[in-house]
Amino acid sequence: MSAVQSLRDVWYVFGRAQAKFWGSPIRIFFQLFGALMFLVLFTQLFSKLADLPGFPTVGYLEIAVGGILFLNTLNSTMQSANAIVDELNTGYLANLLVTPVQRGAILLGRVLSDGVRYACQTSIVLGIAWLLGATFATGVPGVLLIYLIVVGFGVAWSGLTMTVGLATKSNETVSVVGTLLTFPLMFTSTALLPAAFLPAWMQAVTRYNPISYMSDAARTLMVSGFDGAVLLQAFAVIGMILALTWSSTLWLFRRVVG
Amino acid sequence: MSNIVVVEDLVEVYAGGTRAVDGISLQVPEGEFFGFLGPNGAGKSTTIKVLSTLLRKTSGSVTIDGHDLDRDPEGIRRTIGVQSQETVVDGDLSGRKNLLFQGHLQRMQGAELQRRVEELLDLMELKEVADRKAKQYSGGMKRRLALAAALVHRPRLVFLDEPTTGLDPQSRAKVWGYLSRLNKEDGTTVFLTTQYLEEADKLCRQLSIIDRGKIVANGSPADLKEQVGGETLALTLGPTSAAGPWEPLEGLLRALPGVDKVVDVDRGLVVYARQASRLVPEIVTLVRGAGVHLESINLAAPTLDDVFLQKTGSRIRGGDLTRGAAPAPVGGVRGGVY
Repeated sequence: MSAVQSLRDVWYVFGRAQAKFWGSPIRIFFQLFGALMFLVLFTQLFSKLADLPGFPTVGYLEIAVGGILFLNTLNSTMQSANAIVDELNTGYLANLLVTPVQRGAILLGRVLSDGVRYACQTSIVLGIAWLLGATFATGVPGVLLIYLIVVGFGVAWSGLTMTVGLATKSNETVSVVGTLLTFPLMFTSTALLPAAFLPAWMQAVTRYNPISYMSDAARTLMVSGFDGAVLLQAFAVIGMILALTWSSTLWLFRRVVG
Repeated sequence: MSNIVVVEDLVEVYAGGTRAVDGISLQVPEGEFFGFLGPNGAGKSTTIKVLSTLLRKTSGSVTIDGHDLDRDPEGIRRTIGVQSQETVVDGDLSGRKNLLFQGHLQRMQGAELQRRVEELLDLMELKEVADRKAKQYSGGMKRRLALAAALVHRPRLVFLDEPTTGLDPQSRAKVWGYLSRLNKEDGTTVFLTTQYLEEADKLCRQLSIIDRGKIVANGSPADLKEQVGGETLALTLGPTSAAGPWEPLEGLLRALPGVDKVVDVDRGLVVYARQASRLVPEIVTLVRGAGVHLESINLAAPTLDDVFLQKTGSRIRGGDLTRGAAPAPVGGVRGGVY
């Protein structure tokens, strides 16, 4: 099997997933709407916070953006798992497996397409924030780094939802586990408030929450500047999650296509 | 002619210990229209899943077009087209895009693929709806689209797992017509499973009858019917007062001259005899004498159903097995690979 053929396989699987994604405008509309809703709700709810002494920015908006980016991504990784569980259960995957398509391409093409989806959601959140008057301290390079962090985290985290999906073959389980994890992860992290504004015990908890590292990195890029240590930590956390969740996903996938 | 499918002593045991396929051997020559006939849960789908590289076999050997299943599944995948029993098309994509995607996975591209897709859309009468999302298609249309997808790369061998189950008679006739042409004009070898005797009789030149994971008979439909021999008399009987329904009567009938076999079925007995029509008066007398109410007598030339009945002791009727202790269907393979 030539490398060119493998790349073609990845490209076709990617293309199909993209066609499905762009082919449903309703879904895109609700993602837009969801991002707008969260941004408006959170900025209204916490608007007075920015008046407190020691708050890192002039408004709450720039703080909220970091959190909402990852709230969206956490939700979105459930869709990634749902898609593969559906294909497993309807027999569509079996249909792919009786063709000469590369086994790895079936997964890789899909992951790349999911990456595009996470990037689109990032654009929506950042775009709305910009329209609402948010400022970006690090300009275009910083924004590109934000994309990289969100997409990297999304791909890493989707390994977890896919592991649940492939192990249980049940979308209900994926939703239950995903939703159960989302809220504690959001509220015990620095996603919605900087660490300094949290009680001491919770500050300790946030140190073990990956979402803290993600939103700290995005927030620093939004409100202050490039902080090498913060960025390095974020990418290290992404790398760890990626290694952990994708080794189990790959193991389960190999069993399924075995 | 060389054999495109060679199966030797294939066994498939599921995790729970069910022997879904219990030592079958098959040879299908290239260009054949081969039918695998059996009731639900007989092991037909399981066999196709193994042959199409989806399900790992427990033991035995499989060679398709010279490619060994263990050493070269990739080679098998390049040779075959498969339409699974569950109709699977991508509902989010149009019919045309479904076929283009399938073609791409089968290493086709460009103008050649375009032409082939248009040809299949024409053939399956899907041209008018080709740009509509497949989830809006009727069941028959989805089925035809799935069949087109299995054929897009002009495979030399196609596996069709109950391609007409659930179709209305009109759509079924269309699919039959298309499959015969595919086999006659393109020389494609067809490996089809069915639980419809009419379908097997009409389409297949060679048949294997499978029941409970074992092949119980092989041959052309005509050969098989000849094996049954003579005619059949189906007696529909009323309830009896005796405990064991028709047992004494069965013995008496078996003793009649020219009777090969008497089989106990749902609502009566079937008598196989060389010249069954001549036995009618005697049979009526015997039934009366046994105190059994005779509702009707039906004289018929042998059908594949009779073959099935004679070989397995049960009937295929609209897919349902009329047997007391029918095995649980093992068609869905969720436990093993899926």
